[in-house]
Amino acid sequence: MRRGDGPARLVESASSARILSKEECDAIARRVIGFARGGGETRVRILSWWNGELRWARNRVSLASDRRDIRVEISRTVGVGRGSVGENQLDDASLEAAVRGAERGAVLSPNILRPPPGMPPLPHATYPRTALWSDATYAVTPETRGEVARALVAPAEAQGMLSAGYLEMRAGSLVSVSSERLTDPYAPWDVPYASWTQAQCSMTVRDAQGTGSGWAGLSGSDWGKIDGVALAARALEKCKASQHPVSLEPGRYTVILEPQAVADLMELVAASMSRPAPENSGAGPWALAPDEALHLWRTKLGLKVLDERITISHDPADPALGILAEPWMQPVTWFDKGVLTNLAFDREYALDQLNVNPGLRGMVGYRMSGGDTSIDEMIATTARGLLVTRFSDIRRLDEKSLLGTGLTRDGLWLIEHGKITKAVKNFRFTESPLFALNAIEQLGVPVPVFRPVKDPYDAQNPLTPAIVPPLKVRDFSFTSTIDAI
Amino acid sequence: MNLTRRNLLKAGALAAAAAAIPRPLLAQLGRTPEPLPPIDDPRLKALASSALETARAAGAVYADVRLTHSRLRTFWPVYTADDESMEVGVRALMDGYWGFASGPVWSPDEMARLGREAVHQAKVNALGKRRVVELAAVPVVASGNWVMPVAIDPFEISPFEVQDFLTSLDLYCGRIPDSGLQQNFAFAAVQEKAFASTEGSYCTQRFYRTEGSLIVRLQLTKERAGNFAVEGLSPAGMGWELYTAERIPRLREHSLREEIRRGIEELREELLLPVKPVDVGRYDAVLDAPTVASLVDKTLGRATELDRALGFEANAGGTSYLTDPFGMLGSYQAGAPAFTLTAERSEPGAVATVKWDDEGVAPDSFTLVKDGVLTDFQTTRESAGWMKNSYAKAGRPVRSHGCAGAPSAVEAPLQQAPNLTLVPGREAHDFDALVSGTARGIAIKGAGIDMDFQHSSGLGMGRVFEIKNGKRVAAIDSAGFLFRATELWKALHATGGEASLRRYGMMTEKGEPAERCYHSVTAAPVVVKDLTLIDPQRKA
Amino acid sequence: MRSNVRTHYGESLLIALLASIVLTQSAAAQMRFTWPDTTVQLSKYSTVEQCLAATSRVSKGLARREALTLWRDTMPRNPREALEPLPAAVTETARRCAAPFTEPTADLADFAPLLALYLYAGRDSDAAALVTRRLAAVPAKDARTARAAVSDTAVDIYLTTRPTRLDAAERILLSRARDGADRIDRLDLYARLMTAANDVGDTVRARRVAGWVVALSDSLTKAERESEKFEKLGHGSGGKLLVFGAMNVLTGLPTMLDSLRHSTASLEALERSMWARVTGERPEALPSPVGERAPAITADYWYPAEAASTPRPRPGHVSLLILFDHDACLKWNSAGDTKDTCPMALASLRRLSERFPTLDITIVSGTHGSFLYAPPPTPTDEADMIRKWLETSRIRGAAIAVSSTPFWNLPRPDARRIDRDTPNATNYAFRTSTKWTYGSFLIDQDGIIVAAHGFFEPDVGKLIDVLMHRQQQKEANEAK
Repeated sequence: MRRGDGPARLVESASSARILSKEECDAIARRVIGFARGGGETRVRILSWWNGELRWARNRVSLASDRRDIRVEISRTVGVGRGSVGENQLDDASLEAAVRGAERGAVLSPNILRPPPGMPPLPHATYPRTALWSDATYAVTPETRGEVARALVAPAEAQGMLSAGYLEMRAGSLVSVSSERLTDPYAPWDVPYASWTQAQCSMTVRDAQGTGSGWAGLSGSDWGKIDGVALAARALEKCKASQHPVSLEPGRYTVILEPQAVADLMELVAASMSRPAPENSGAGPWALAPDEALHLWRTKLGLKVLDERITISHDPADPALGILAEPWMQPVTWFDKGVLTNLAFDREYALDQLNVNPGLRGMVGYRMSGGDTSIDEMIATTARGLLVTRFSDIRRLDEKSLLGTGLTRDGLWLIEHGKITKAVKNFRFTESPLFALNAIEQLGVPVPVFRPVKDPYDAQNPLTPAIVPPLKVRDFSFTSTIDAI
Repeated sequence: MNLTRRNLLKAGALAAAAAAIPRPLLAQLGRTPEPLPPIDDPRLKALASSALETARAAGAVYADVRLTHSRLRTFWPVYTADDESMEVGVRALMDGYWGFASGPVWSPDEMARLGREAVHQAKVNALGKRRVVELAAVPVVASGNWVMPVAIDPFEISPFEVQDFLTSLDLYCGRIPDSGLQQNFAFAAVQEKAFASTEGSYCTQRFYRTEGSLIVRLQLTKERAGNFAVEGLSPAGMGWELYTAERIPRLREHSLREEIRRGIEELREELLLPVKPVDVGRYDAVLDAPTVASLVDKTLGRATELDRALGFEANAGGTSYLTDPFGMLGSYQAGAPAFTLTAERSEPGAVATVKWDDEGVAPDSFTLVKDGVLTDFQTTRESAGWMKNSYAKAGRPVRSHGCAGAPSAVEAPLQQAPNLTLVPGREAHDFDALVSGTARGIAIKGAGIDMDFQHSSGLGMGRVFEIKNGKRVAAIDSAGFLFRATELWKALHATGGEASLRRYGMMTEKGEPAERCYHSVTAAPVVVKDLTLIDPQRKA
Repeated sequence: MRSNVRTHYGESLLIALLASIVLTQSAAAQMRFTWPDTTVQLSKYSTVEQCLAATSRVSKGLARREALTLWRDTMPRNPREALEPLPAAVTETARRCAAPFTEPTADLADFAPLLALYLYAGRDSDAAALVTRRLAAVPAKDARTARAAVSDTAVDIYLTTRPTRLDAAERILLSRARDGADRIDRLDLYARLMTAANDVGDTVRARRVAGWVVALSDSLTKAERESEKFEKLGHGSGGKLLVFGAMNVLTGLPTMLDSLRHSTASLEALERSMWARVTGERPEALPSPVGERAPAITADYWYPAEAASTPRPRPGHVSLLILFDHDACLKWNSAGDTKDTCPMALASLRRLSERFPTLDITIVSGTHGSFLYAPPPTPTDEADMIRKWLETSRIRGAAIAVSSTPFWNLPRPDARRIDRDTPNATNYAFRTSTKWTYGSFLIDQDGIIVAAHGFFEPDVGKLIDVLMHRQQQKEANEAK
């Protein structure tokens, strides 16, 4: 790289910064904007990410990696059109050619945008600080990862089991600015520089004959909060306890869902938490009925839809729930003691339908309330039921009831008269989280769960933390047995 | 603009260049950055070699490097969006452990850094327990170059032509009463890849992938409405001819326009059928080609990945129901005697087709299941090594089948699915003929399949019809089917003929971190006996 | 009445073609960059739809380029626009692409799009031959209905392609008359031809065809008149209004202006008699507020402030009241793009204000608790934002009357805002159910409503002219 051709630090040595700093991003944005011809607005979105990865299977590391990449998206609004291109090089010639490409796109685009005169000034957004970054995660070296992996594998290997798992430390940065506002104050559709770290650790322990499988995992911004050794112990214990499962009749059972299982089931809810669009307002699980007089659909907002012991909320200041900041982000409660209290909406809806500012994002990160009953206590008070580790391959079947189907995985046990008696073959379930969350018998202490963002290029929501309790739920519907271990 | 003859001529000459995004990306081959050379430029070999030299100097017993230059172009009827990137990744083997390092910069300094880092990653794990890696031998490709043959390079034609074509489909669809296009866009990708290894191989290739989404909606009445995706536009190793050709063997028999018309006619007939609720039970089932392709892919297609079968995906997508790969080879009855599944990476137009895989191996054609019996697995150089004893017993050479791949050089190569083909039946039956030959049963079209994490049992949901006396007489509402992989293929009763084969491009996600790769599956419609029909929404 | 009918392929073409003209010379500083030379090989195109797509694209491209320097929608409407030839680039594209399609060999299955393509290529004789061939090829069963359907398609295409072919459309409609197929469909087509002719100022043809409309309407049976199909004519505004519109054309603007010249009450009586004539209803049933006393405009915020002290509409002045809401015009998205969809209306108002300095224009609006992307303004702030926006239209001497729209909210946490009617909306609803939140009212010097309609100038200007002259006459007579 020639001097002056962008951040040399990214590539010069192994100890160089693995992601772009704010200063580097600002400099790149300025260079891009400097290449623009023909006036108009230039938007630059710069994403950089680094992954330190370690994967193992059959008790041996199969691959350890250091990977990084950049994505630059340049958008030019010229005259009456807008064009954009994406690329991943930071040198002058590449950026300039990308700008030319975006300008060509602007010429060819169909949008005839013409801001009228006499418009109010753009509002300036304030972004709260959220807990996205952990030095502990960023500082983990390949050596440390290797040591950790060996420590996680050793107990399983010592007991003749096969451990497979994955460790990943990630750092990323994102900025999206406009030539019209390179610095504070930003407009609500800019993204001021943010950087984050994500750590994930998960493992599956199986016996050599494939008759049992146990899993444990955790993810979050801070590696310091993830106790890999405890996870490995749990996965091994579950593996041993799940060997030689027996077949059970499908049917409705009382289930004790570990926090991971609850979180897996909650994905059906989390994906449905938007206000229906005015033109399609009967859609989704939260539409109530049409109101002919007012020409709109009433919603279930304000109605009790879940057990009153369930409160689901998010506080941007919570150090355990750091997500990418949105303008004017506030604490939000989605379900307040079972009452549906908020549904996401965009800024246009906010201003037009509600006369408020700003919009409200969906359940990107959340905390779910619980109780103080331990899982052991739940087991002890169950006459007949099943203990579920987690669910897998969940698919939504019906958008109004959120009925879904999926599979239990990595540990399912029968409870009889307050004790775990047998390992059980996995089931397919057909159930709705809305039904389950209305059939709660007991709640436990909420804990963080495994909910990592898989794709490093996905910067819209680079962290998706959740804190979820274990639940005992009655009448959970299992519809068929599966052979998979 | 004045359309004078002179301007037109000048425009013609510049059209190809002008239509494309100007070459923006630079590579630093020597001291100073210069415009991106074609992938077979010899100076790139020197660049690649420098990474390998560094890796070797740092202690690697084997190392390889991939450089990729990828371009993506999305076409909508009124707009075209471009994306372009360069990546490089180095893999090193030391003391039985692999290390990998990758990034976006092609320069001598970066090659050195990556070479060192890859070895560093391997070294810190080599401190652990002993691990043995035997790479199956591969002929050295001292210097090779291959370009996937396409009739129309989608990056060289005017985006306007593409836009006009897409718009014309919209206009055509609008002529047909009650119908409209719900989705209409096309996507093209071209990737140039250079591969070099410390064994002395160096090869360069260019691959194309073109696909489209053309979803037609038919609304007869408020209640009777449905949509379908037009055949033949799933990912293909082809160029723009995927859209413009009048017919493409194994993809479609007619032009896209005609496929739209026929699809609407067929959907109209289906929407006018009486609707019945599910009568849970076991039925003889006629499955259309896309359903069969999905079933084949998600059962044996996944189960025969050797790394998966040995637990290397246990923490991600899961394992395989072929629980004892070495023991089952040559004896496990995976399906009926009429069931034969072959694999290759050479079929023209298929999307996993390459000249060399990501380890420099020229893939061969091989048979996974022959006459119902499991005969082979999908392998890379390392996993082929695991098959050493089994191959020796069967008198076969130990070689990788060439399944190594990754979406781009920034991801490490994994064993990815090759193209799969379910061998057709001998008689010239197609879907309608198979329906005609069924006295009582069900017909299933366009089902999506969910498998469990051992790929052994699954749930399918699609459009289901009741067959009576060889005719589809009713649509069955909210129906799905449950199956176990081996039972399903053992219950294979009839397979459509050669002319009814259809090829579908599939995308799979595998690995940690997750990688998305493409391959094609070719299958014919089939009849299976005793398929379990259920109402997937019925709770216990 | 302006025709809004579009065919499927006509739609995007029509919008684009309305905007496309030969590029005017403009200052070099305003040309940003050259257009890409991305030539398309039209000879490779094998379907009619591809040719139509290419033609549409070229046309839109010209419109986009023109929009760099010229904003057509703020210029006075050219009534003869629909008759003007297309830009050479557009015709050339259509012509070259259509070359392989010839009469009498082209596939009749492509009838509709091919007819459009022939017309864009200027091949009118081929178009006529195609129509004849297609009519001859209808199956013997249900021949009349089938031929009528073909004719209807052909008329539709002749009217919506550019330049509009009124002669050819009329010829087809006359021959269709002989088929005697569904009469309400025929009524619809006659009305469309009449409107198309009227729009381009071809008053002779317009009146002729208006006569057909009225005659056909007179012959409708009671069942036909009460049918749902009749109710849906004119894009849902109803068959009665459609025929009333024809009666307007038949009567002719000069006669109506003469009537107005005499007095507003005369015009009212004329309109009521026209309504009774064509609908058979009582004259009082005319769904127009003509002849009503215009209620006083109320507002919470007046601009300029002194406008509050004068009642609006102003006695002794010709008044134009424009009921206007900003959220109908101003659009934005979360990427920060804003767009004004009403420049045509505002520009035409400006021209009126310049032409008639004594015309009293009042723009009547209401608050909504939001203005584009600005954080929620108070009603006072919002009124101020409305004022700032409207003032950029430079409508001379216009007063702006903004009501703080009464509203309520659905109970929390839903909290959606439900607007109620402003007093102005209620007062100006008259006996119809139409809430006039968007529309204009022309009021004479005595405070009586003369007309209620949209903003387009030709008719409004003429009406205002007559009112002004009437006043002058009156003052002259009083002086004597």
